[in-house]
Amino acid sequence: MWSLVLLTCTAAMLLLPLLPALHELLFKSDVQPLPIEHALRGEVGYFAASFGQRVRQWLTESTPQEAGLLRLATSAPEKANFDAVGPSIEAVALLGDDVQLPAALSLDQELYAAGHLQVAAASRLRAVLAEGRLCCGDGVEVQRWADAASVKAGRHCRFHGRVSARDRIEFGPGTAFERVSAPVIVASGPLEETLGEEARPSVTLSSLEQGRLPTPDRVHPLAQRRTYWRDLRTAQAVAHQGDLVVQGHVVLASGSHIQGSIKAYQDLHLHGGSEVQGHLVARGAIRVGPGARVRGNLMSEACIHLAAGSVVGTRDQPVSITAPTITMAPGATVHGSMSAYEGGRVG
Amino acid sequence: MTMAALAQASEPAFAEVELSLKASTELTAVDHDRLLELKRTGFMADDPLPDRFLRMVPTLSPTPLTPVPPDVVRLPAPSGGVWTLSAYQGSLLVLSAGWLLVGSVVLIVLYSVRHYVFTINRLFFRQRRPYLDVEQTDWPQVTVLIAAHNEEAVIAQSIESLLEVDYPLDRLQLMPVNDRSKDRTREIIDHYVALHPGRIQPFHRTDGKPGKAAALKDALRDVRSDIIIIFDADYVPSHGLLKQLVTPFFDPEVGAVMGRVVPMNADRNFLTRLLDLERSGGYQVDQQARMNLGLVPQYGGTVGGVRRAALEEIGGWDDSTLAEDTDATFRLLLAGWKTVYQNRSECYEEVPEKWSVRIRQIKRWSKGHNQTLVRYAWGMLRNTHISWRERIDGLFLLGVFAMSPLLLLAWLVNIVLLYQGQHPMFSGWMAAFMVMAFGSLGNSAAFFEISSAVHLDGSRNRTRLLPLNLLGFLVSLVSISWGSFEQLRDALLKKELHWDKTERFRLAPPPMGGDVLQPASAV
Repeated sequence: MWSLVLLTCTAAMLLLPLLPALHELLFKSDVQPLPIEHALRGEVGYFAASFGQRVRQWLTESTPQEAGLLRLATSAPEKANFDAVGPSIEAVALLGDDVQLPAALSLDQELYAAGHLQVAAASRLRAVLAEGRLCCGDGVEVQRWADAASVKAGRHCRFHGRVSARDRIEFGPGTAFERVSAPVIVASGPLEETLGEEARPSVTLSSLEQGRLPTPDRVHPLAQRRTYWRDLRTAQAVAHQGDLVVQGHVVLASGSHIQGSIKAYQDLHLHGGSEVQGHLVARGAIRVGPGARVRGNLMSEACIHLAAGSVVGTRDQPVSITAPTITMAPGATVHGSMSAYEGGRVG
Repeated sequence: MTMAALAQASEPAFAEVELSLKASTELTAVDHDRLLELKRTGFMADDPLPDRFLRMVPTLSPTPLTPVPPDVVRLPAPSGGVWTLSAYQGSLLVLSAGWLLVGSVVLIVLYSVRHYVFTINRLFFRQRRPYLDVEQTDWPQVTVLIAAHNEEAVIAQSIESLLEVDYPLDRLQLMPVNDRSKDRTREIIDHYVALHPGRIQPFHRTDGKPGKAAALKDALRDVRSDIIIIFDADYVPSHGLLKQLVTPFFDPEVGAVMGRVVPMNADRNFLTRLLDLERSGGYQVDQQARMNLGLVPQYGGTVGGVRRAALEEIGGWDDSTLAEDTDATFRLLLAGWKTVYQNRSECYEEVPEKWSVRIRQIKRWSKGHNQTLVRYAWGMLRNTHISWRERIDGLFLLGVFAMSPLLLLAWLVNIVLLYQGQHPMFSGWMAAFMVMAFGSLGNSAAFFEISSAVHLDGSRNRTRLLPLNLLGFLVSLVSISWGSFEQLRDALLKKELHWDKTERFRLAPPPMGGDVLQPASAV
């Protein structure tokens, strides 16, 4: 009998870890393939666009209030009255051409403005979509997303989530952002007093006057790529056609001109007045000096700093900037989108 | 036999005992037994034991307990008889077997450590995703190759999906590569060409060397784009996948990119559920950890892409290999190009639903991997322009399929030695490692890896299937070992390697003009 008990206990011990497995095999409680995102939710303006579609549909319905939409029909310069906004309201639609929000407004609903919208200082909004201009006073906070024809933010605004505009975004000093997209993104504010030696040189060097890069350690002729197994620091302006891969730091002197992309294993510093026609990729920090121009994407695994007067991308060819942190000095301009996973800032 | 010769002949056993005796002040029971065993089997000298032994082992008799000719060793022969060796030969054989055992266990432990490191890195450390969120840019010219050999059941859906991807139409060329298909693959492709003029440029291959690598090699001649993205015909790319796969190529050092493969038919049967777990571990943890740690993510031949200039620089696809993807990964690495992995770039695939298909598939992978190991391991180790961590990890990656036959061989040796009384009888860490290695059919960290991957995927209940993976590992172990044996045999007989196409399980293609067939479990 004891041997039978022992056998039973041993069998139970062996089978015990298999019971959940057998249960899952039989009842298939977790068998669906992993969902793969098909929609373009990665686009900065996605949520704003979805909201806009929903609101416009609501506005055409006969009883929008039952649908959770509160219509506030105002006309400039009358300010909107938010006393009627309650917990049952999902979104607020402002139907005036030019609406000014009350001071220090705190709104938990998504906001739609059919025209221009002015948000007073120290207000807090959940999300806002304006068909016209969106002007935010100092210290305004938008928690989810903001979208308008153009966006102008005062000092020390905070845009969590996404900001998009169909024309232009202008951030005041101290403004924080995460993901931004517009044909033109400008950091406004007083320019640095002296741009120093890094500024665009008063005389543009011709290609003959520009120096050449040092001899590379490896050349990939088909890909037009040069590899350096050490730092690449140039003391004078250089000109080069082709890509560069540098297993160290890259420092290009003022006035350099590179027709290609640059990859740095550490930091990448483009001094003022330089121009890169391709992309900048770095495992370390990327610094684009005053007055420097980059035509391609910027991708850093550390941080990106855009100095005053630097320009990334063009209106005709917008680009993307991605890094854990992005800093724009007043006077920096970006054409395209920026994604700062840990936060971006003007200042 | 003198003590010195004895020590030399049975060095591991004798030396171990001697060391043990030197290190201790009293003889342990194990050492005592060992000394008795040595005496019994005739490996004890006729000379009296050294004094120090006798002082410590007063119970030991200086004379052999069982008289055995000291110069003969008998072992069971494979034919069933007895294999008689001289003492020297026998001891050498046992010595070699012992070292094989130790070596295999050490290697398995190293692989386990590697995978534990990967899993911990994936769970707790910073994740590298440097090529995300590029929305607006000057997108390069791309050609998408769809490798197809008798793929009438699946090719339509693949083409339909690619026609819907988000990518500038003027920068995208679709090129289905019809490799000597005997079914309706060609007809289906031509139907889509007619429906979408200017968007699809088919490549119909009617002769030439069989195999995907050979087909891609021929198709490459017609490609003019900077970037080549490759899908197998059973893959269903999502809307945003192409841009995600192209983005890493803005980095001028990137030569190849690999996305993540997600089984769409995991619900079919027991095998597909196991493979779903395996894929999860392999991509969600293994590949991403290699990306995080700056090691060698592998280009997998589908849901991935290569830079055309880099591919041409290394001589294009090699049609003499069964694993053109692994081969390309390492040739690119040696040439100074990196392969990167994009975990968020996911695509559905169809995993084998029959064990026979799975076995053929894994045998092909192992043969291809072993080919690459032989060709490039030494060159990679000597290449000082590849970082040490990449070289070491590259070696691990290349040797992963060679571990199965080694493990199996060590297992067998272990059993033979044990029953012959020749087992080294390790203790301590080595014993624990042996239990770990043989008890889990090799790499025990695989279980941790898979469960972590499932957790990261947000799944819960499928983790319960983990113990059943042991069966899958056992099948893989035997299949890979058999494949290695076949490969060795074919190499000795100078036979060419044969490409085994993976069978598809989706239903027959729809009639022309009908709706595209949707897999039941696809999103």
